[in-house]
Order: sequence, then structure tokens, then C-alpha cells
Amino acid sequence: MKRILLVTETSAFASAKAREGHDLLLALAAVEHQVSVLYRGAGVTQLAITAASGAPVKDFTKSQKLFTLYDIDAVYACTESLAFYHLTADVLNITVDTVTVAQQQQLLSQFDEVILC
Amino acid sequence: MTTFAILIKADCYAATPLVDCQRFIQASIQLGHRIDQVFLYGNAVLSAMPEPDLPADEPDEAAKLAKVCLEANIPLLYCATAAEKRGVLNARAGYTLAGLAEFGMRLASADKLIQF
Repeated sequence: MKRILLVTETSAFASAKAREGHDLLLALAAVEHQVSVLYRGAGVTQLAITAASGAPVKDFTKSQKLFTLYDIDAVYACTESLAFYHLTADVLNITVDTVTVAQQQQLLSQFDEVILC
Repeated sequence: MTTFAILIKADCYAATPLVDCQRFIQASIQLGHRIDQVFLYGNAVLSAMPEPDLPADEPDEAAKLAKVCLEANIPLLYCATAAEKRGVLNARAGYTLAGLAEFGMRLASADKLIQF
């Protein structure tokens, strides 16, 4: 079992990257790794998708609500990225811990593996 | 000795992950390390595509990677779901269908994950 941080930097539906990162996150958690996720850059927009957004593909972001069930350790979001996209805690679909870019450097060192998606 | 797991996500034809991966494998083995798995995810699954119609003067790095893995007895796995979505329904010789769960389980026995 490893402590893994998955870093996701792409918006939800612009490519398959976000969805595939999300699937990888859940799969790693399902096989008993201690997994956390960091949303940064355009990745933070994955946290603010709503039904009204009219996603052109399957909205995988709904299953962010299953993170607790999958024992996802922690959900982090980049403070600067949230500010850049004008996203505040009240519009996010799930509760996140915000981390500044400076704090992220410290955060990365806490994990056995960091996977960029 | 370190046991590595390799995850390839980068575009295999628009970038050089297959070459980088081969070099990493060869250097690791020369230094006495072990590679536990090479797992292809995202657009990298396209390298499992059977019989790509490459121009005659272009090297077939996907076939070379399969050869390197075969010689070193390294499982060369590609993600079933990612491949299916990209129309890769069969694989070329040397590539084995696998799931994300298998990647995760194998990862537990590796010391370090390397991503290309």
C-alpha cells in the first residue's frame, strides 16, 4: 500500500484526461492505496460542474461524492487556481482543503508517489 | 536494487515516451534494477494498435518497446477501457490487456513509479 497523490490539471470535458484521472483515482483507492487528490490549474473547474453546465459527455464529476465511500484520504484544491477561475467554496460540489502553491511544494513531499493526470 | 513501475500516459506518436521508456528500462537493467510493469494509459494505449501503417522511413517504437519488454520479461500492459474508447480492440504482439485495478495492485510491490 502506498500513499499516492493524484494531481489533475485539466478541465472536466475538454479532453479525456480529467475523466481518466478520476477513474485512476478511484481504481487506486479501490485496491487499498491511500490516495489523495489535488485539483490545480484548469482542474479546479472539475469541482464546480453542475447539471446546468450542459456537459456534452457523461458527467463523471457526480461521482466525486463517492470519495468518502472510497476512503479517499484528502481532497486538495489550489488556492491560486480557485481565485483565477473565481470559484469560492460555496459553488464547489464537494468540500476541499485549499492549498497555496507554496504549500503544495510541502504537500508533494508527503507522498510515496505523485501521478500527474 | 530498486523495483520500478512505469506508467505511460503521453501521446506515443506525437511525443517520445516510447523511446524514453526504452532507454529508462535498458539503463535500469544495466544498473541492476528491476521493472515490475509498464502500463499504458490515456493516449499511450494507441501504441498497442495492431499493424500501424507507418511511413517506411519511420521507426516503429511501439514494436521496439514490446521487444525490450519481452527480452527483459516485463509485463507490457494497456488499459482496456482507454483502448476501447480509442478504437483499439485488438493489440499487437507483446501487449497485454489489463485493468486499472491490476495496475494498482502491481504498484503495491514497486518501490517507485516513473511516469512518461
